[in-house]
Amino acid sequence: MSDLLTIAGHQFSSRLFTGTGKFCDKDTMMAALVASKSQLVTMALKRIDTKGQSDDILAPLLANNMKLLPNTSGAKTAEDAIFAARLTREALGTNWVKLEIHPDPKYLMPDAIETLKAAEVLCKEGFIVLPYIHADPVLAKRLEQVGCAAVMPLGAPIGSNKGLVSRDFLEIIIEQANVPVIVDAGIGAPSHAALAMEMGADAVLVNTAMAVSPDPVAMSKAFAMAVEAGRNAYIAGLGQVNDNAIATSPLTAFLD
Amino acid sequence: MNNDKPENAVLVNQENWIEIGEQLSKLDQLLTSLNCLNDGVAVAINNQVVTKDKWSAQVLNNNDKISIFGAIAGG
Repeated sequence: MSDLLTIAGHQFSSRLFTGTGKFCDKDTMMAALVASKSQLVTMALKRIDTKGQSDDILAPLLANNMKLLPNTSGAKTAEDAIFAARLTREALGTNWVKLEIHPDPKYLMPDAIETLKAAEVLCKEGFIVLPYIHADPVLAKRLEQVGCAAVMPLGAPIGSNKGLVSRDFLEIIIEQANVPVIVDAGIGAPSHAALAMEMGADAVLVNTAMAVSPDPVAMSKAFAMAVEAGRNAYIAGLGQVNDNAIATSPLTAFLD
Repeated sequence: MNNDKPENAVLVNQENWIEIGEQLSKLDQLLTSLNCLNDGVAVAINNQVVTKDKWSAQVLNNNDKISIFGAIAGG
């Protein structure tokens, strides 16, 4: 069965997107990403230390045919994010951008107003914009209307591993969206990823949970299986939830 | 700041003054001297992105703020 996810005309057979941060070294990161079967990976941009040697992670990602999704991490305003997006387009040769603007360092909550402002400008400039947002159904619609290719609502704060704390609002976003919904941030266990997929999310983005596991490769495989299982369950259709028991075996006549 | 400003110089990544002159007058020469003429690099001068096709023609001016960015791991 072919069940491809299409974002801005680009097709993905894996619905597990991954981040490249927090892995202990480059080789572990690559092994984990390959095990995850992810086809879209996020990256960040930073001022180069012109005196030191930088660890080149770009080449192995491209060698493994992974599509790059640069982020605007570090941006605190729409203006910062627009500048960052233009830089990432130049550096990485892609017009895809994960728009993230979080001025508050404690919870890294995305700034809704700045995100909408930046999204509007970047969409007009021809960027494929995937904004990281709070699980706010109204904002998700507004971002869709200004031309975002997908929305990336959070499950819980970045790196918190708390799972789908925002579950009820994610459900509303998924119900109303006309663009793919990628649940991002907070997914700390394969069961969280499976739940998001069962709810009808189009994809999930996982980073910390894989990178900080004592065995990132095995954990990445577990996430890949969970995303696939959740997606298959969503397509198959879950049974109705009932308050009372409904017998699975016939209750007739045996003890009469 | 890591060093004092020479008379005719650009400021690289907010920390290093680099003297410019006849031997070092264009952006691509600066990037070569810094070993930054690689894939995955973006450059802004005074917060304006300079696209790769313009690096060799881009003249460096005294007091220009040069920002050189590279891709790193991130979520």
